[in-house]
Amino acid sequence: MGQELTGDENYAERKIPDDEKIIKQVLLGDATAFEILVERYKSKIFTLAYRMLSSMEEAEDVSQEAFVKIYRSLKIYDAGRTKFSTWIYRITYNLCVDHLRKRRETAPLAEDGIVAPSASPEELAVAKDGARILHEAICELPEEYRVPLVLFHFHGLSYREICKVLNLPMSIVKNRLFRARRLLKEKLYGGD
Amino acid sequence: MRCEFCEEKIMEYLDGELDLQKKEHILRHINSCSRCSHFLTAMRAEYMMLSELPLLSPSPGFTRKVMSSIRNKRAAHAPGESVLMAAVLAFSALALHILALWNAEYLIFTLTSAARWFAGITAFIGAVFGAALWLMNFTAKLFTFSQDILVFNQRVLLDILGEYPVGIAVIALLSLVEVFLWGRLLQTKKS
Repeated sequence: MGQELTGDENYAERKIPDDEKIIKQVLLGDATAFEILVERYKSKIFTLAYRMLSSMEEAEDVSQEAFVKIYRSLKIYDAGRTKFSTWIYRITYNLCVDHLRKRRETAPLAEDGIVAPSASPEELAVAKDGARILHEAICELPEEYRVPLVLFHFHGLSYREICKVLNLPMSIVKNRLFRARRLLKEKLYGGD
Repeated sequence: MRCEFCEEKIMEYLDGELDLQKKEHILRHINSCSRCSHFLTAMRAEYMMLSELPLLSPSPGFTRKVMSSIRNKRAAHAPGESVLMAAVLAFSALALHILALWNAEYLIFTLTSAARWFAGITAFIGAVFGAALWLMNFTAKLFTFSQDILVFNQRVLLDILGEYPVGIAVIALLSLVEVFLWGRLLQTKKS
């Protein structure tokens, strides 16, 4: 252990530091090390928030809130039990769920908290025909189906990791994932 | 095999979640069933499209905003200082507690043995706790290379003190009040 740790700086120069190393640095009081984690995960966190909230502005606010919460909760993160990415997706997911609940409370007429996807310039830039159709089809999926789909296909999570993020049993996760794809298939290609 | 059930297995197959035996079983079925074969092709196309959809990026100033937000919260919270302050308060309260006990023994003899035991045990536990925390902090600073131990120590310290600095401070202040009241009571009894 000592050998590896005394050579810490050389090690950092040779290789991109892994999440756990950065977390240790942050816990030692080096807040700037957290910037590496933000850079590393911001797109994934933002994409998850956006796929759940369907609003660029709100997704950005919630992502920011998520990173602050991640920073403040780092000391209770247990690397032995959960992968860092799974843990931060869970934090983001919970914040998004809270946000959707608040949205429903303030605008009870909006159906299921879903708003029409907002098209920012950035979004339009990537929205070529096929991608745009798919993007809209994903946005139209009910939240409970959309989230496991996004976690699997955009974030590369396994079934088991999705269970951890959503705090749901495997049977429900599988079922929702299958239904999401069936619904998506119907939207993209019509029924059977 | 029912095709509806098979559709789920096809997705599990594409997700790489099937073991070898189940995989062979499903592939055999697909070869003999045009409906499932068609479903597999459609699903492959869907998976392909999903994999091509890019991740989205937040606005360019995102990281800067997150970091300044963290710095602001840190300045307001200052966990390091609050830990130190809470530790100092707790430690001095304990010292006073022990002093008061010593005084109690010295000043008065009417104190019941049960009360003495109670006071003695609480002071002992408190002293051990305080000393352990102090030692942990000290060794953590001394052996900066032993990062694992340091992180563990910091977690313990932060969990116990950092999260509840106000609580610790209140306990410390209550101990001071207790010491004061004991002193008054004992002096009154003595006179």
